[in-house]
Amino acid sequence: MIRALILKDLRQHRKSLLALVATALVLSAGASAGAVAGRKMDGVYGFAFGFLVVAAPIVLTMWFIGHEKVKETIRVLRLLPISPRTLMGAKMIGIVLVIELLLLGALVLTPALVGLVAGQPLFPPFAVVVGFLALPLLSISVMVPLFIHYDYKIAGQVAFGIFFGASTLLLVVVKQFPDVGQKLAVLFSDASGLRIAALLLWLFGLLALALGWFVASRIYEWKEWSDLGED
Amino acid sequence: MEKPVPAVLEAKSVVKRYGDFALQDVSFTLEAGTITGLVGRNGAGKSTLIRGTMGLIRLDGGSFLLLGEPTRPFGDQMQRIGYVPDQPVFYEWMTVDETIAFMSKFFPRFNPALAAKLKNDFELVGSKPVRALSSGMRTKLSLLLALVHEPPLLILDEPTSGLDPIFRAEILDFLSQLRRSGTSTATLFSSHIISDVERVADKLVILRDGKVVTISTVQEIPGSWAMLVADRALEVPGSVSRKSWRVMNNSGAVSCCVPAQQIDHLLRSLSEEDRRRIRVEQPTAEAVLMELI
Repeated sequence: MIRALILKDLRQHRKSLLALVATALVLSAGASAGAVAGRKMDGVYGFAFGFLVVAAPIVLTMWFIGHEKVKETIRVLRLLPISPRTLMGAKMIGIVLVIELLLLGALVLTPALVGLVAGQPLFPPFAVVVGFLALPLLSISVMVPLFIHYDYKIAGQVAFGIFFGASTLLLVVVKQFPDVGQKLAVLFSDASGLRIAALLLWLFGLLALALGWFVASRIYEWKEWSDLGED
Repeated sequence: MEKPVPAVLEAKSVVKRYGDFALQDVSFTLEAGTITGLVGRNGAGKSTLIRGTMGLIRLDGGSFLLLGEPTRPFGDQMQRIGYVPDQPVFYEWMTVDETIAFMSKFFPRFNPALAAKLKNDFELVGSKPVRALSSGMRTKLSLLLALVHEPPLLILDEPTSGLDPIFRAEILDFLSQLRRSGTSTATLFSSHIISDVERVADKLVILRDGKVVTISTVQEIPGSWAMLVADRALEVPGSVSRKSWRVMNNSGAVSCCVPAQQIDHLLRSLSEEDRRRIRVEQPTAEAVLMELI
């Protein structure tokens, strides 16, 4: 059942997904070209974070969940013999799959190919890639409950508000406590530090995803009951 | 000694409140192989009752037992229920075949041979996108999807409203055929088109303001009623107001239904002149239902 739901979403949004993949490829190739020239991956990381960790989860949740609500096809899903947890699980797995593949492409495949063309393939550290792959779990765990609870327009605005607020808060903390930031940078700068950071990100990401799944399922259940008025 | 066959669906003292509306102490049963009409005006509580049956709302009291087991929100009862809404929703980008294939993944009892037969009977073109289907064909597709997992309970929520007369007749003919085929499926057919329900239902559950007014067979309904026919609306003190009369035809004749036991008293209370204007006839089930709902 989960497979059928995921395949349905992928087929339904195939044109939009292709456009997203093409955009990601072009931007990623540009960032990789810069990285190959400067022998630094900062541009690639910046693109991966901004486009694939922040923006893509919002867009994909809007397609996979917001669209069902706007087109009222959520009524089709409500009448299927599936639990809210199965439905929300399928939606989350679908979004995670797409973003993880895009991230792998942006962080590993494109820099390697662009670097190969330039004569020197570029590979980010393994622990960095693993850690990066955990980051979208945090965004998706927030986006799915948001889009289930609110209309997609409101949910989109709240989502950007959350990211803007979180970024501002991080900036303020780093400015206010520069020592802490430096200590953290030192702590996670070597290979073992990066591995620990990646592990912590995955633990935190999976916990957040489980919590997001639980909350989204409960909201869906509650919304489906309270949305039904009298006849 | 034979064990009694349990009802397919049993509503036991169901209560549901929404603001100033309440479904109050609703009880009825649906037996295998029968069609039960659920009749009432808009707002009488028909859809609330149907949602409760499917476990889509929390009840404030009572319960629905499907094959002896209570239905619950998001429970697995949808495996045993086929549902046709008044305005079926589909994924418009899918074709008819893709829609059937998608739905089949969720029902272990999906019967592909039955799906093929119904698709043929309903003249549904498998390669046609759902968005290109007329409202009648959409209802047929919805009916197909409701039947292909061979559910013991089929719920039709105003399936003929908004359809042209040909499609309406086809849907009603199909339901009649289904019953004659000896199916064990119990059907709950909700509608405010009384003639449709009268045509296919064995039994009627009549709802008014959230309460069950009558549960009776279609044949029994007119028996205890009489119809007064007059050339114009008459005021009968204490019994019939001018608003009770309905125009019957182009001649301007009007009629109203009253309980048969009140007839003598009612006629006695009329003046000699008014009594001459009135004749008493046996009402149709539809005329009585108009009075009841």
